[in-house]
Amino acid sequence: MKRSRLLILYFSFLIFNLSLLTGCVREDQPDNTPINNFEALWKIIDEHYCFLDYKAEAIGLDWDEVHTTYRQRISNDMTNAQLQEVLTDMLAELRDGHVNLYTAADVSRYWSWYEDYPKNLDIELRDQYLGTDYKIAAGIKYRIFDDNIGYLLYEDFSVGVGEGNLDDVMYYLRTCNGLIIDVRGNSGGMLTYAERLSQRLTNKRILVGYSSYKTGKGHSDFSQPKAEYLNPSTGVRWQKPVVILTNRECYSATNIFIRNAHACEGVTLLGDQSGGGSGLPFSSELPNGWAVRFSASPSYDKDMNQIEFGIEPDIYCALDATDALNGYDTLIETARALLH
Amino acid sequence: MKVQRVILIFAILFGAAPLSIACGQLPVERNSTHATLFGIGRVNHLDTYLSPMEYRGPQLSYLHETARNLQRNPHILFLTFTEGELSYTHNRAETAHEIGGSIRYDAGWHYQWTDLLKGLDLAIGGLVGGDIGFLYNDRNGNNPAQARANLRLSASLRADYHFHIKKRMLAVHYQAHLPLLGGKFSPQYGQSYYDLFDRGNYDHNIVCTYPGNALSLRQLLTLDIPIRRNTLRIGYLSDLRQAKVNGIKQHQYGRSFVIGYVRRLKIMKNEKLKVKN
Repeated sequence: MKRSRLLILYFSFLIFNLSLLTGCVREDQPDNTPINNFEALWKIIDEHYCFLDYKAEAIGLDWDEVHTTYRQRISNDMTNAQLQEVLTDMLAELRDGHVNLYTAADVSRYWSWYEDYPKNLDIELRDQYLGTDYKIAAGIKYRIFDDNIGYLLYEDFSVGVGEGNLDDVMYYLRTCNGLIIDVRGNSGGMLTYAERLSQRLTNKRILVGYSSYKTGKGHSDFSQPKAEYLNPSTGVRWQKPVVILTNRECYSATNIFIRNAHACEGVTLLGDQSGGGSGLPFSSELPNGWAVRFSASPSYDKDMNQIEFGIEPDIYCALDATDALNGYDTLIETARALLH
Repeated sequence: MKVQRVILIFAILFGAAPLSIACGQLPVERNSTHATLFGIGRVNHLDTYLSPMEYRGPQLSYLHETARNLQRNPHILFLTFTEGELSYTHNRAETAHEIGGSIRYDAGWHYQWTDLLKGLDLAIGGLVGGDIGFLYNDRNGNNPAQARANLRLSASLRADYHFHIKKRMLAVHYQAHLPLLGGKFSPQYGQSYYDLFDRGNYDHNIVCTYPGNALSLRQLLTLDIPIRRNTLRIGYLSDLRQAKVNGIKQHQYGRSFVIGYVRRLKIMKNEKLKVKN
């Protein structure tokens, strides 16, 4: 009897403590050295960045070769500033405005997607068109031009707009012959607001694109692309022609707004190619505590084309210097002519 | 008799006995033990959805446990465990912080052997439970937080060793819970919560868990010291939770010093509560 009791006791504790012998779920925690931080950053991009395959094809990016090239510039006796400089150069190989490295001293960035191109935007000139009696509804500034064309300016999708705001804006502009939506200089923000505005431009549910995300560490490990549909707003919707003014600064959520709006009937894109930025950014970090942001899940247009490097306009139009000197914004004037 | 006991233990482990007990008549008279503990300790968080780095820091916890002997069969204990915890952790470089919190509840039955060895009681059985919680990283953008939701069936063990020091009876109490089968919520490797909830794209976000992909073990070792009509309980809680699902690694290694009190009640036939100590 005593023996059987001891056996019960023995096996009871054995079962529970056997579990301790099996493996722990851990991740390497490398020491804080420049080489380890370099390796950690390279690995984060290698395992999580979503455009490595696409950019290998589009711009000849070879991430393994990038490792070889930049590893030579790393040594454990370099300063933080030197390390950040090398890591910034390495990340710039991705040509992605959604990739940043945040340190206490600086934010590494790649902004050539708009810095290398004409702005096609003169803020002072635009302010002249707005005048002083324009209306403001949350993140939207709007007015009716003398020729009965509506003008809607959304400068930043980080600033919200509500359904009620949009109802009032659309109702106020209802008598206009056409509508100009100016998103030049809008470098993104919340997808929700971008989608909310584009929902005012369609009367039916339409396919606007696809999206997927990474399902594993491999460069090609993606989920099956899911169709994205734009549902019409249940509020006041715009029923007349629309011209959307774009420039290279239109990025991220603004790029998605342009994609969605372009799928709607009666919408014309005018200006320059948008900046792109179709990867939803995620965050991670290095052993030294520096934060890194990178594109994690891609969006495509309705034909499954990549829009990471931007969306071409229907009509290319640049800001003419002579027009600007005479107080005319070439893009706004061209849009007005199109809408008449 | 032995065969019957073995059958009963298996029935408790796999949930049949609880059903039969629940459907039967409730006993009118039974013993009940209530333990309330407060813990303070350290926790080590890893969630590769948020960061590849481990976050460490203080953790506060609350535990409430009840155990009731059924009058019809004094070998069977009905147990409940209610727990809550809050943590505030930081990465090694102390440049970012994570706030974590969870509540969990488990209930089940044990079969108990009293005086298995001199002064030693042993009980084994099964628990059904679940927890919900969160882990928030104060620096991340589109992946700022991870939601936690788990359901589980656990094997459970408890042992009590009673001994005397200067005519005062003390007890060492040990309990362990080992989840064996369950379900867990998890986004996919690179899936955003925007995609999951705003776009409604479900993609195997409820995952079956078992020791092979979510080996976890919760152990509590305490000493009961009677003080007048109450009992002081002090001890050490080790709560090791892990998971590796959808390409995401998670662990939460918590170790806490706990202190609280135990009350033992006896529900009499006339349904008046009396302190038994």
